[in-house]
Amino acid sequence: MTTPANRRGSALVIAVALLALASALLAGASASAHAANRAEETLEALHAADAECRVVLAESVVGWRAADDSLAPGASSVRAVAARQNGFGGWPVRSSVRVLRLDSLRYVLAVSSEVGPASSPRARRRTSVILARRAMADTTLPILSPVPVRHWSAAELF
Amino acid sequence: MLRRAGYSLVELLVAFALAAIVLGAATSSLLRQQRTHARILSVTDGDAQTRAAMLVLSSQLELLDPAIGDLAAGQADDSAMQFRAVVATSLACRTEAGAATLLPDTRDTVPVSGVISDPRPGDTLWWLADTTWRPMPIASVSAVSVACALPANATGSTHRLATSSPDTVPGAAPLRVTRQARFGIYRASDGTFQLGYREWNEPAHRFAAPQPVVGPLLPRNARRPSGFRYFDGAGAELLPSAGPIDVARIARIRLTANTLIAVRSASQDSVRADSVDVALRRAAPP
Repeated sequence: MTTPANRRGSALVIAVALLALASALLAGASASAHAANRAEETLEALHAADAECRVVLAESVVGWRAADDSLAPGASSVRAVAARQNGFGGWPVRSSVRVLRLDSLRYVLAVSSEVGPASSPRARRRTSVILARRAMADTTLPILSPVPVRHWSAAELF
Repeated sequence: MLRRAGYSLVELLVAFALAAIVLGAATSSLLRQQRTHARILSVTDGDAQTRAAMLVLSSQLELLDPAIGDLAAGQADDSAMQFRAVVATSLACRTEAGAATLLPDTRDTVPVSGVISDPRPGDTLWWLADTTWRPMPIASVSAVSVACALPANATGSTHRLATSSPDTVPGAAPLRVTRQARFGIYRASDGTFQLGYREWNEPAHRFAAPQPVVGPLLPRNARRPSGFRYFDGAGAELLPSAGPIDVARIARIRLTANTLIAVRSASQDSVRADSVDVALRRAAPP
């Protein structure tokens, strides 16, 4: 015969089971959403790093610094670009620019950009171009900035 | 002793029925949400994969110069094209005759070189002499440890490329390594159409099996076919119907990918169209 005490026990077990089922469903949905969010963030970080890398490269070519003209062949300079917010999670995008002088007329300009915390970046992009300056016989003319030579990959360095 | 009144069978059945209805509705809602989420994820993943692949593809193609043979003659049509793919860029570590040693990158600074795929015999080494890239066929590749003084102080392991050319490559010369490669649409073993990438395999003297880059694509006989189209400097389309396309006239390449994203049932499948136009670096006049 079922006593009141037994009935209370059954109700509790059923309630716990239902709660467990609901919890499992919610946990599954939450984990799935979290994974999707993480994947989306990584993709966005990759785009942000890629865009910033190209922007910094273009800015460095256009805004050639006369200070780099005084580098000796084989010497290089590295400078950090001020971190910029690039629309990704409020994290800054940091970039570094390296100028390596090859000879009197040619330089390598390399850029590295990364997104996310410095301790564990979410995405990184690197690129480089070779810049060449046209030799001029007339030294009274203003010195022109070097321009990229064609056929060198300005794409990812991996 | 006080006896508490229990629940009647009817009360329990009503309670269970109500609980079942609520739980059923909640579960159904969650499952529907999961399905929608999975579909959105598939579509966005497919979009992202296609876009990323198209960007990689365009970055490879934009370096090509048809005037100097970067596009293989007679090997450009609406479903495939053969070209010189850049697999490595670097600087010469030192002056060498008939060979070049790639500059090793140091970890503590911004690298200036990159290797997408290790150079191998059959590839071509190019070095920049003033304004002209000079080719040297690579005969053998060895792993070496070097210390370079010029163009930069760098120590580490790298590749030394021995060539079959007697040219002397000066130290600090810009280098790049190219390999014959093909982008083409093929039918995979599972019956789907894919845009694949194939690299030349010198020992086997043939192209390796294609690696899928974008896909699955709509079938080739679909109303919206995927593939390549070519245009000259004046914007006129070069059609393969009148014989092989004159690759020296190609100034722009358009790649269209109609990606089929299958989602559970055919009625929910999604077709994502993406297209990229690549203007070649130095196109020959029309």
